[in-house]
Amino acid sequence: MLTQLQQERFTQLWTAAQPTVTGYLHAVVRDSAAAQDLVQETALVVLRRFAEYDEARPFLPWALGVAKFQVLSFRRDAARSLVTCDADLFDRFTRTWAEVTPALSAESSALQACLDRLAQRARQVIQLRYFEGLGSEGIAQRLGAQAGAIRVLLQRVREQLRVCVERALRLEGEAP
Amino acid sequence: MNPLIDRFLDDSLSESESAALTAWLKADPNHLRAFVEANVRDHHLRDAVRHSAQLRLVEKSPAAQAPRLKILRPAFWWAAAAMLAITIGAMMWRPGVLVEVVSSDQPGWQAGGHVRLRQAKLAAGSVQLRLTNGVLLNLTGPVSGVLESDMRFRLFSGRISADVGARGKNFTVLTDAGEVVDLGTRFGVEAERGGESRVAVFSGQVKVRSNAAGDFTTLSEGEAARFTALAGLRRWPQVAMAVDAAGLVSVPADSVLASVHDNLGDEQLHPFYGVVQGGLRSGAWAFTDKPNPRWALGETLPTWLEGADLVRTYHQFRVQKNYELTLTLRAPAAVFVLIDQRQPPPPWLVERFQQTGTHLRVGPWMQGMAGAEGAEIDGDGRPFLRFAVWRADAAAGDFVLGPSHAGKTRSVPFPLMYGVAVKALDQP
Repeated sequence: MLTQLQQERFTQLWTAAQPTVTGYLHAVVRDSAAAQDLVQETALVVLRRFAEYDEARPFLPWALGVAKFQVLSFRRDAARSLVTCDADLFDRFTRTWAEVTPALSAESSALQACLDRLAQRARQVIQLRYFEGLGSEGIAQRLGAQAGAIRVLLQRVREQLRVCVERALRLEGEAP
Repeated sequence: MNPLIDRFLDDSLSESESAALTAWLKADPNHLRAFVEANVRDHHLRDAVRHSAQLRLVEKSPAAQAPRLKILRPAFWWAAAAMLAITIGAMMWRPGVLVEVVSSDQPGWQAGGHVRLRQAKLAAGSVQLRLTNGVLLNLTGPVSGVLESDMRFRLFSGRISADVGARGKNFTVLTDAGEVVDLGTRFGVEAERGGESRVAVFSGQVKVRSNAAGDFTTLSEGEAARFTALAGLRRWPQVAMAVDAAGLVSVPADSVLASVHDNLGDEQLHPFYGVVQGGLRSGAWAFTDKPNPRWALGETLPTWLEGADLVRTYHQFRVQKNYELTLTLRAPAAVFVLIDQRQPPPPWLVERFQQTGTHLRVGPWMQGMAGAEGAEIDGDGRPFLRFAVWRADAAAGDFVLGPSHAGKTRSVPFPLMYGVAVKALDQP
């Protein structure tokens, strides 16, 4: 059983790491329900093994290592993906995720304002893709468009948002 | 950016494109970094879009209008908190519907007492309530909801099971994802705030409707489904169940059994497998779609078998010809198959399992079984059958079982479905 101090420390660290772990698991398994199941399992394993965690090392890579193990022990066919099919690639993907995420964390705060600036059509497509979970074919059917045109639109919107966020962060950095 | 990354993010890569992208990622660390950055940004985008959409959903729900109802933490967090026995809250009661406390592990809530309940928020533990129309509700923490009337419970998040008597027919559980209407039954619902809801039927029938679809779908005993406000019903193949009652529990993360699934696909199918951690005990329910048969009713189980994790199988799959049931094991384990001793054992069982010599009494079955070969009749005239226990030791990973019967047989005109239990090899 963890001490009160350890419980508080766990709470603090996991709260900060959980969004990153969630994003990582979704990227790996490409299925929202499966990713959510894995986040829950990862949280419990991290909690159970928290006494083994070495505070001298960063928490996020350790938590991602636990998440990676959960993917490997998860129902295999569900967890099989482009990333997991090669052990070395999966390992490097996990390490890179731990390195990249903190560097990009500032972007998420600027994203909402950029989303609000999107044209109506682009916002609708983004909503269908990321909230309703529809693929290009599904969005195309819903909007009476060609799937190829939807894919191109999604690609452009992502690029537009990336440029918008970059500009917003640059302006923030220039502000007195 | 490599256009294949966009195709990956759209989940529209072909097999050859997938192979090409893998090769590209392995060729240069900068490629992998670009790929990870695109995925992280995609995750940010998904979060931002969902956050906005869920805010709109929550604003529409009564929870947002109830100033005293706090927004709780995500489900996994609650599970962690409960495991640590950290009490992060207590039940909040306000004037509302009259209920009787049938049982409770909450301090101050004594069995037999009556209270008026409206908002219910339970951080951990459980409470069983009886409404004036006889409906029994089991709330298992963490759970948050509002009892709007004696015929409606609005579940914001968490897990609730209902046992509805004759007067409670049409009792309705509403979630952010849709509604579940009882048709005289026992069922369980679990919901995530603004997200997915899941329903499992333990006996009788319910009607389920996702907010995305206008039509109700009827689910019967042994069936379960998951749904969201924006997508229709999908199969919920594996349901973690309580040992002592037909109720839902959180998925145990430390069970040796990581998952159970079959090869029958998800289309048009809603049957579920009930996984009961440590559930193989005298009197444990055998199947998810039959209310009566129990394992070893009135008998003592051998210690090497008792307390194994139990998979309540779906009895109607007994006649599926190319059926496969895959168990994914987290650790090496003894896998037990409990099968009607009168049936010729299927080849896959003979090849990979060994008979233990133990036979369990299983029943009661429907009265028509009383005249069947090998039936044992108890003092109340109820028929029971003997099931043989077979054992195989399996390594961690997938372990596949086959169909229940070897083919048509004259001696057993009604083949029965087998049961499954699993025990870690290092478990006493």
